[in-house]
Amino acid sequence: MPFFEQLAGNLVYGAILGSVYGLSTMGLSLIFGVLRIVNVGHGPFIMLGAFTAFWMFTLFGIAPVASISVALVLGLALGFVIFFAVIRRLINAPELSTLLATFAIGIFLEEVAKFIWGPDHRGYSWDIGNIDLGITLIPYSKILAFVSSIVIAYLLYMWFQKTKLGAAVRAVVEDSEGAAACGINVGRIYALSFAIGIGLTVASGVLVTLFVPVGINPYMGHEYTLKAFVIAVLGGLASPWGAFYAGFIFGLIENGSYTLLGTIPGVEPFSLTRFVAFSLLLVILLIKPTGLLGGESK
Amino acid sequence: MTLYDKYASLIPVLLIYAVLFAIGISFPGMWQPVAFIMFYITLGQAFNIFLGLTGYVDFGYVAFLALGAYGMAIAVDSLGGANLGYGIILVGLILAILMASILSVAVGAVALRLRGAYFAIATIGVNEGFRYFVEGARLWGGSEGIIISGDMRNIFGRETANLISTFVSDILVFIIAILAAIMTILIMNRRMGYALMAVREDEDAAKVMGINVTKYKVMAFITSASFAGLIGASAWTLKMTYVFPSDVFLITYTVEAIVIVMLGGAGTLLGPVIGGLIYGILKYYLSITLPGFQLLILAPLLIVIVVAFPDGVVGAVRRKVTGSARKYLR
Amino acid sequence: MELLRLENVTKRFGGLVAVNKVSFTVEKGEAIGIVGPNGSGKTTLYNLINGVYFPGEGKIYFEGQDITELPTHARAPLGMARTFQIPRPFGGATTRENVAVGAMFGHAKASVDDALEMADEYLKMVEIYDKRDVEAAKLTPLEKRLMEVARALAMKPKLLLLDEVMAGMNPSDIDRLIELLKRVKEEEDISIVSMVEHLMHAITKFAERVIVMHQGEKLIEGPTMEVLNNPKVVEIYLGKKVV
Repeated sequence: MPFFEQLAGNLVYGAILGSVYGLSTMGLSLIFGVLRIVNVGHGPFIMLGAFTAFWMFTLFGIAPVASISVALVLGLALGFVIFFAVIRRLINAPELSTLLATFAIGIFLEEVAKFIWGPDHRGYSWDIGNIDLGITLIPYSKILAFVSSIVIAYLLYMWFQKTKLGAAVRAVVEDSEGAAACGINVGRIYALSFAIGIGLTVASGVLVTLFVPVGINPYMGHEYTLKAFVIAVLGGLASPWGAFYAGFIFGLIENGSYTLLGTIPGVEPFSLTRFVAFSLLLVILLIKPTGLLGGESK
Repeated sequence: MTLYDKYASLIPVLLIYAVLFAIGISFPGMWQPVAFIMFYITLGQAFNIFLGLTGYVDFGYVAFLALGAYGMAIAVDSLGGANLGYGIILVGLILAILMASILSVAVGAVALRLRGAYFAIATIGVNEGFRYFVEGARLWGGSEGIIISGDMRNIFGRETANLISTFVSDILVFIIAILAAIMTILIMNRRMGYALMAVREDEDAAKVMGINVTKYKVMAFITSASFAGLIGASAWTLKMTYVFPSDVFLITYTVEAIVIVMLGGAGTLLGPVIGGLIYGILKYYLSITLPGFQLLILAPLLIVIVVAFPDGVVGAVRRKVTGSARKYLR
Repeated sequence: MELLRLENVTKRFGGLVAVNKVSFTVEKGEAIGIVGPNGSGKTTLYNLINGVYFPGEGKIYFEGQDITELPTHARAPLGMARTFQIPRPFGGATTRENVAVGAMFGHAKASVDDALEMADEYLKMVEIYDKRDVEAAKLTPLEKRLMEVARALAMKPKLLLLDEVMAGMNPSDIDRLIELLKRVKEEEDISIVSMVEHLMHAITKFAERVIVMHQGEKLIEGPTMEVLNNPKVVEIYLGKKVV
């Protein structure tokens, strides 16, 4: 296949994948935007979503798109538990404490997963046919993932803009003291935002498996942590919407560089792409740590 | 503050080192657990120079250990034929420090301009990124690593090579522990120590006071990284006589280092020693019964420490103690 | 001799103009007050002089040198020192260590040992020497403020910026602090700029000249009594005449 057709196909693929990346990063940005906490253990939650999809499909034959709701609920519940057990006690602690705590939570999730499900890589296949776009063939499953991401992001946006609770969250992001003065129970908003953030992350794990249906293992989260941070920093660490758009851009860059690096002989494009991602992260952090889009708060 | 006051906190540290050493060489079969514990104490001392003094966490810290390991391996592997005798070990150690500090300058000069959380994020990629770089670009043997057991036997003869990997490497770790402790107290007593204290407590106020925060953070980072390199070179390469990327880039070591420093008391001289002691003893004697569960236990332990005992053992004791005893717990 | 000069300094935060084209000068050895209600831009002004923020427009000169873009940490060694409205001690360190940090990294550029000695000296001056070994986080709010004054003085600055340092003090403490500041100003030839919101009587005892800020702009400046009795100023802030 001619190079440019391959590149174009990869870019389309990248954009679709990017929507899922964006969704997963929205959770990260929401938690930072509201609680000013960086969830360093982000990746392992995606891993949980991936396993949810796997087990739902393998044990009960439930289509991954349907397991999204299961994952969302699971993530919300887990988020509340973690908030009340750990995060709540660290609201006024120095930043180092929350970094270490979220890091440790992530590691704990991985180890529990390994303990319960073993370290082996799992996979499944959900093939419902493809759509032919001329330059490339895109499986319907991936289209569904794309649509699901956009729907969820849109629903969340609507919730923020149109509901009372959503407005309360936005108020807390702007000015937590002012919000408290208006009678908003800031503690509850923190708990809710954290839970939603985790819920989004776990749900995105389900969608991730539609792109990478193999290699589901307890330690798969690490690469997604790195990617999520690159995206979050790209889109503004505190802005969920910036994160979503940045996800697209990242998907494009990732697949583009994968294709390009694959043409260099003697180089392993898979590993080197990750290196590119990391370098990108550093570059962005240096130039404009508040993000190229979105900005510090929204 | 008299000279004694300033350096008093070295006394309990060196005392513990001496007692451990004595136990190790006096009682049969005790050298191995003592060396095991010393590794963790030394790791804690090295990591404390950064985490404890600056309050910044480097989630990619193990990369410095790994580079140190590679440094020694490369030296022995490439220069083994040059007939340097014991000098080859010195060359290896120097290369280890060089490689670790170069990486720390590369990462630190860039990432340490950033605030704590952003820096931590940047470092998450370092370990993974560097490992993928080594494997992806097929650097230093790529995924297959470097084996130096043959070279060691050729250079030193079978018996001496064996002595080096069983005894000399551990002695080196002891020496590194002493050097790290001395370096830490020297830093604490000088301008750099005060600057780092200010950075740790309130970085913005520190800047207003005239402190070039990036400069001091980088200095602490390079120092901490260099010691990690030395540890990797001695406790891994010289001991195991091989370096595989899948072994040396393990995040477990970073987590262990964090736990040791936080458990013992971050930012104090004695803290990492106590932390390493407790952790080393627990790990040595419990891992016989619970292999493979380390992280499963470490992770919640770290959470508990961070939430309930952020000052660590030494920090907590320090709060209770008043008067002249405090200076021993700095 | 001119020590500090601001020329048309402007700072915006998003759509909000916090400081709008403010210009003024501070001469060596002056005692100046900046007054204005909350939100008038006083703290932002300090942050601009200090290098915590950088102006969108305008220039700042210190001893004739353009410091507009100079990084934060480079300003203190030039001869600036400042206290914070809400005190920011280095909580985990002792009071003495806090003050010593000022002496080490500020204009004084003292060695560690000298800095610790200087710390003792200044702690005695502000009368909290007995708390020198206490963890700074454990000081009372008043003691924290005094510690900040000592820390700022230990830097041996040429320009001292005080941010509502007398808020919440009782009148006799205020008088003692003013005496101390006047003494230090004379002995060490420091220019002192003090910000206050309500304590007009303190300003009248201390400041030779006053600058009035209102909604980010400099409303008026001039000799203290003149300005404080200016009808516009009275109207905006005081509601009644200052005696």
